[in-house]
Amino acid sequence: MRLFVRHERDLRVFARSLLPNWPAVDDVLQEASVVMWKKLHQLEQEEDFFTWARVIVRYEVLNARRKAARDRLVLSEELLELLANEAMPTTGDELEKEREALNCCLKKMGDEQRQLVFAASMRDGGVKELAEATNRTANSLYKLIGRLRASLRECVHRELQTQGGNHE
Amino acid sequence: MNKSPEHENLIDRYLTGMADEVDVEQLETLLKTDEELRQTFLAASRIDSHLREQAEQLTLVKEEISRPLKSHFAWINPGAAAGLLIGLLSASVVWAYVVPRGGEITRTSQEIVSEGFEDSDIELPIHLPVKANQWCGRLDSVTPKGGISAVEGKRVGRLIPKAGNRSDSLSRVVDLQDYPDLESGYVRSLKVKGSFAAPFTEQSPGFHVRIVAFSQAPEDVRQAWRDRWNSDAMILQGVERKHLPEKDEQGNWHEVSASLEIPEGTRSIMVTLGVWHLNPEMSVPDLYLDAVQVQLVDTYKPPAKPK
Repeated sequence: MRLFVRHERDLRVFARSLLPNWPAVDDVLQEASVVMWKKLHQLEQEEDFFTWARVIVRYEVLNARRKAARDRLVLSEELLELLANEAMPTTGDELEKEREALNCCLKKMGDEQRQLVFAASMRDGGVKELAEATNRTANSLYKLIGRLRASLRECVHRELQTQGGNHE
Repeated sequence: MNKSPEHENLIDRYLTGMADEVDVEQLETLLKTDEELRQTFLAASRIDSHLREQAEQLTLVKEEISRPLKSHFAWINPGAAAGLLIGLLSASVVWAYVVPRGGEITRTSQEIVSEGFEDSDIELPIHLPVKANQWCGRLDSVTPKGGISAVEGKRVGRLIPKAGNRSDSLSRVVDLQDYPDLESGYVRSLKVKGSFAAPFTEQSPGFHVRIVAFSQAPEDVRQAWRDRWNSDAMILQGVERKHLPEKDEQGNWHEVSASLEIPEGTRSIMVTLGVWHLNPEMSVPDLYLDAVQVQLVDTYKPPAKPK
């Protein structure tokens, strides 16, 4: 449990890269935590936990994908396998550096811009509701948020390059 | 990094839940054949995760900061707020939504449920609710043992575990038609809190409070919840807060709270307080629940300034 709590944030990042929305991420992590508890005796060294846990999360993602077979808004199993393989090498240290870089970039933004970016990250469909709440059209707000998110990613990329990180 | 604005836009639509079937199909085709775009996609999804972490923390901070402003809102006392923060740091999941606010915030609250499980003859239906204002779940009322005192009164609710179940919970449906309409300029939230204790267990159970908004009438909520995997339209919005106590804290009470800003079109809200077991094959002892409160909170939201 201690290990799971320590790595939960990073496991959520991994699961998010394979799942279409946050409720699905929450469900998969809950299922995966049960499996980890049962199979903990198979883990030989604590330092291998993150890699071991991601294998379990990946398996649970594919299980969830099969259950949602009728949903046309999810990516195929074949593509998820490909993405999982390519996401696996990212380490916890790299994710931490990315968080630090993002913090630097967020500090460079204005308050309103930052809140718009957060609003879009909080839940599916949030942009539409935010548009109604602020009397803007969804399309114009979406474009604005899209530009802000793109500039944030660009900023994080630059920050990581400056720090000698290598995420791309 | 693949810099095509169209591709980045497509990825953003997918990550923010705006993508339709055509978008997803196009994204699938592109990602399968373009390794560079897959790296862009993975980087974008990582940033999305980090942003969400930050936004969740911001939600808590906003709750604390907004409290002293002309507030009749006494739901989260400083101790509870600290508990929420601890919950977030240990392991918690919230999905919610932050709206930029300006001007003064006024709140009025109405307590709609206060439950201490003092009725020793309490008998509840065990299945999910099919009508409003009734608790449902495997629970009875007991005097707590093991050196535990009730949070309120003398008795507590005891969640009775079912062998092999991964979770045990208590649910209730609130019918919004039972309450006055919202005044113009206000938004309404539902807030739930409850205290959990698991004094006799060898494993580490997790506690959770979940609030889910439905457009359906109370009698249709059970079916809508069961069909949630088949149709997104069934559920308007949900919030869940999970709390995983440390091993040496298991004998203590743990207060867990959650709040949901009720989306437009909501008719019924299902409230669930529960415990999940990491290893359902292990024997599960009594789990206590006490001091459950449900409140409707109306918050004045100043109209957005025209741009």
